[in-house]
Amino acid sequence: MTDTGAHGMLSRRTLLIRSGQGLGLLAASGVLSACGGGFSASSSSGGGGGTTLTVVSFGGDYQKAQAKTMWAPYAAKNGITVKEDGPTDNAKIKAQAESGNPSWDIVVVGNDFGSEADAQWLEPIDYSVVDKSSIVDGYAQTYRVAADIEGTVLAYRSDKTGGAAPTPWADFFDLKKYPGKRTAWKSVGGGIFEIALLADGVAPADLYPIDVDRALKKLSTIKDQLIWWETGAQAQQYLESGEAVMGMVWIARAVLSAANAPITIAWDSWLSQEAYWVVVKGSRNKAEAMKLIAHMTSAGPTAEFTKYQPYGPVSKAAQDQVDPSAKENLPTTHLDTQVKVDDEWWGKNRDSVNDRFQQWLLS
Amino acid sequence: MAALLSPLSPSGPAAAAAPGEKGAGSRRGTRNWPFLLIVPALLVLLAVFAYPVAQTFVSAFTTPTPGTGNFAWFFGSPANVAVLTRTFSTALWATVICLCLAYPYAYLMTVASPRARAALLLIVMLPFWTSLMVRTFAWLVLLQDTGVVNGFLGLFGLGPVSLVRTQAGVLIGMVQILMPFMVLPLYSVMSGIDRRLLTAAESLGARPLVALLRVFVPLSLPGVAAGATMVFITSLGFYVTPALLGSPGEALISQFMYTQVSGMLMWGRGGAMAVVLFAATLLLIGLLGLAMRAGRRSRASAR
Repeated sequence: MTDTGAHGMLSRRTLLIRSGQGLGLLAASGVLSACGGGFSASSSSGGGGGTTLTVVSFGGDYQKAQAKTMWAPYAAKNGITVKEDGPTDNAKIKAQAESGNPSWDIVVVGNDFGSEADAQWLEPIDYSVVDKSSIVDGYAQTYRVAADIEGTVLAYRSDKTGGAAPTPWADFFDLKKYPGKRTAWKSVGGGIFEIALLADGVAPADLYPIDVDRALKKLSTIKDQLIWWETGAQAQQYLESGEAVMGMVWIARAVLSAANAPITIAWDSWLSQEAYWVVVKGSRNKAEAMKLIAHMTSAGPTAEFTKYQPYGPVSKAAQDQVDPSAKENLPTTHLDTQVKVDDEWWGKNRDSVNDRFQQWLLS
Repeated sequence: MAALLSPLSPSGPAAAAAPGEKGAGSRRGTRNWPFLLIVPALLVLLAVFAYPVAQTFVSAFTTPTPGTGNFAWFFGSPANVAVLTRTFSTALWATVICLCLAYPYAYLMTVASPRARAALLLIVMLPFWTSLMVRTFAWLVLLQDTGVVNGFLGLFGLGPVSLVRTQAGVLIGMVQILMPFMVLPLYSVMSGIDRRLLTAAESLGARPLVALLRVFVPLSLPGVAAGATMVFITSLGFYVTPALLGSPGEALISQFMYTQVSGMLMWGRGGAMAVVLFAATLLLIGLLGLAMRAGRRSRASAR
């Protein structure tokens, strides 16, 4: 639950942390002994010829779309080999960085990893290679650069609201105006606290630090009408079956369910969510990795990616290259109404707030 | 377990001895060497059950800091204690409902013709052979607000009844899954009861119902005890069914353990809850055993 399963991945990855760390240590000792035996990798990989980069993503259709639009064409053109692995596991990144000889080079991570707090496990992005000015403002950070711009939105059944359009997020909590069940992500940092405070009248700029008591009090007003989802598929099912009249859901699931049922996305206020590229500290192919990231965040590949996944491109120049039919529901089209989730704050406070959240769920 | 498995054995119900009385073990054999046969199973149990359970218990007292902090945390919050009591009350309800449904069913099995008995046994076992996940999801399809049951009620203008995300939904799912654990021990004991005792009671002037209640029911009590213990203990650890059919507000202890361990990496808290559940269960079984022994003694002295 602490992991963002933003791509419908199992959120149980955290269970693996311990075993992941154990494996990392084992792997590390193996690699170290290999080094002692006189094994030396060519660290001068600047030329690129013959380099093998290991790229790790969330798996599924998402990773397939990335392979097709982002790294496969680049590898073919530049004569490098890209090896794929997955799914992303923050614990494995840490264990590999600590081993000093990581097998992963580039990894896609969620909002919960890669901020300044995780500096010890990551290489800083080389902005002499990656063009910072070409990236949408705020998404080129010290240790990570966004892979795509996602979002958590309010989606509603237009057939059950009597033609009216609920306003996020006040109407999510207004049972009189819009009676019926609501579905929400059962994840402490997934936006549930933010939407409660926004509905309670807090300005987006004043959200942090989160007023936990106030948020829980607001949530209590609709508690018996909330259906919690934990995987993207569940969220989609609750909306499509009509069990919920509205929900806070990931944009990709909202778009998918809108294809099967009368579902509308309210873009008046939505929460930021992204995937980020990071380079694991100690990567032997750092220079090549930066070059690949520069390519993968450029206009062509990011625009092409939107043909397969409803996530906004991070390249400023790509915004106009997006297919018009897809553009309406891309997060990047609605950046003016975006509410920024503060990853740094959650990084520091997730555990303690989660304690309160879990107790509240039980009461 | 013997009580559970004996109806499946090819020797037929008549051959199955009442499991309440333990067969004299010495009759069977020479020395103690047959005990070697359990060594492989014992080793597997030690490796995959005893060791991890012991480690869980140790972590309850050592993670993140040595001491009883995890227990203080658990008993410090009324919501946590409510989860524990809810777990036990849910298990009790499941046991009572199972007993009420299974007793007449098992009785019918003992009086039915062999062919009908085989059919009745198959009806009990068929869902038992289906995956727990599949059955629970099937209940979800039936019970949800837009499900089959509410669709049927809707035909008569009856509003949707909340069946999932309630304790009722959890109980429906649990009872269905646990039914074989009640029916089989009951049937195993009932089929060993000499029905001539009923005839004798009736010939001495007891009406059929009285004969049933005063002769048959007391003799079937070992089966009730075996089945009830099995169902009760099994329901204490239910996870999938309450997770899918229940609501987080009415979580049972295994769901809460999962949240603490998998969601928050609080291994110590999970361990502490396991210790509390384990201790409470042992206590209950101990009390039940004492009560049964006292009951047997008083019955013996009454004879």
